[in-house]
Amino acid sequence: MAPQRTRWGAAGAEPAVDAAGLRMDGRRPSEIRVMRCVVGEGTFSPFGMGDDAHGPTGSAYVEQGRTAVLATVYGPRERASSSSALPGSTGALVNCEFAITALNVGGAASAGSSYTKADRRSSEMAASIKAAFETVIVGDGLQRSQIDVFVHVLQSDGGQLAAAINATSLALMNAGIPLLDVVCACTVGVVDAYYLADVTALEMRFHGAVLTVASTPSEHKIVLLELESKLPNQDTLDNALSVAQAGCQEVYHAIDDAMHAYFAAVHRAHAPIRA
Amino acid sequence: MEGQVVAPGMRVLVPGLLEGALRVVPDGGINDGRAERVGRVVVVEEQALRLERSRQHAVCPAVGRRATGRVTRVNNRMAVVEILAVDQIPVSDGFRGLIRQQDVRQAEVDSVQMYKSFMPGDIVETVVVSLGDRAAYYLSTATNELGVVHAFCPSCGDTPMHPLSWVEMGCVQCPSVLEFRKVAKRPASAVF
Repeated sequence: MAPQRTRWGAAGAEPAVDAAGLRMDGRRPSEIRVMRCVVGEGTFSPFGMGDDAHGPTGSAYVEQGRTAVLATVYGPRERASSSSALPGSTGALVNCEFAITALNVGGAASAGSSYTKADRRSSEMAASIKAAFETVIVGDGLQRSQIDVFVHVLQSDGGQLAAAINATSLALMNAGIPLLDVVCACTVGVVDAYYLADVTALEMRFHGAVLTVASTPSEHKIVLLELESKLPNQDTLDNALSVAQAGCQEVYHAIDDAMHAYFAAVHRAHAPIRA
Repeated sequence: MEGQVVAPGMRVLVPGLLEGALRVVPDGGINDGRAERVGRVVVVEEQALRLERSRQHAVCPAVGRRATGRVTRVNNRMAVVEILAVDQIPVSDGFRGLIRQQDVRQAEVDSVQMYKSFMPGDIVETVVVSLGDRAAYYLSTATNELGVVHAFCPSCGDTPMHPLSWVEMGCVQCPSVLEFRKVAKRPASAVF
């Protein structure tokens, strides 16, 4: 009788990659999960955009497997006077908030503590997202303004930061914020000798190292790299990075398709203001 | 090719752009041969490229740009304006601007009376002259084309007044109404 596959079964009961070369959910090691992107739901309004009364300027919902993230962008708006507006600073100030719904903490937080808006892990996530996007937002035309990004993890099954970054990318594009490049993110888990792209929460239970990489697809620049544990040597890191970069490229295809589909839909419905 | 739909970071593939035969419109969404926004590439006058403007376009007031706004408050030194659009693109959120007394018109600057130039509710066409202080952008109406483009009759309330001269506006419904404004000279084709 085949062993029963339980959702939160003890790690080690099953190998990360079986004899057929497939992972627990049937993917190959370098394969990412199915991505579904919904752009700009409810952001377009004939009265203008981004006014709080009219909803956010840009938004995106991204599903990667069972991880689901909603990102909303407000702005560019006038900087709140309380924010540290340095006299010499140019460009837009990016303000990011990260939250995760309390009901799915069980599988996601290995330590078992709850995620709230203010806790340390959430603010770390927010800081990572902010750092990744500050490098690509073109601030020339956005002097003295502020862009608020709100990221909400609705369902968590590993790779929250990567999914959050992908959703934020789409939401910023939807808001029309000028970007040097799209930012695509992907995680890689290193378990034994396997490099598992886009790891699930279950696969994180093997306690391998998890690398989160955000990169720009056209120039392959790495804008964010997070590694939560040690790797044995440089080669392992290099291999993991190349798997992650390939994953980012896959993510880019999904993002690009979603953006083009949205653009085509908007253009059918609304003619441009003027050329 | 014209009509290519691009996303941020994508190379704009138009023959002649790399060779330098085509120019790129400043602030047109194309930077260093790459797109900055999602949009369609269009060719505008004189072999210049830009991304098509759409409502999905984040703009902020910047020096030299046209700002359209609504006057919210007037005192004897300045008028406070809520900026609604920059270069005719709606802004995402309320930016505040100030028209100071010295920026209302070019001539006889000292004798400008703010209450005879603007009233709350007026729609004004201005140009951004400075990023101003922390609280507001500084706006100017000191050319003939700038000033009040839309004002409502104070008597009947909802009729847009029409310009009578460069300082006066009147109402079609109420012949006795004569309001003073810094009136913008609008081209004959203008909507307002």
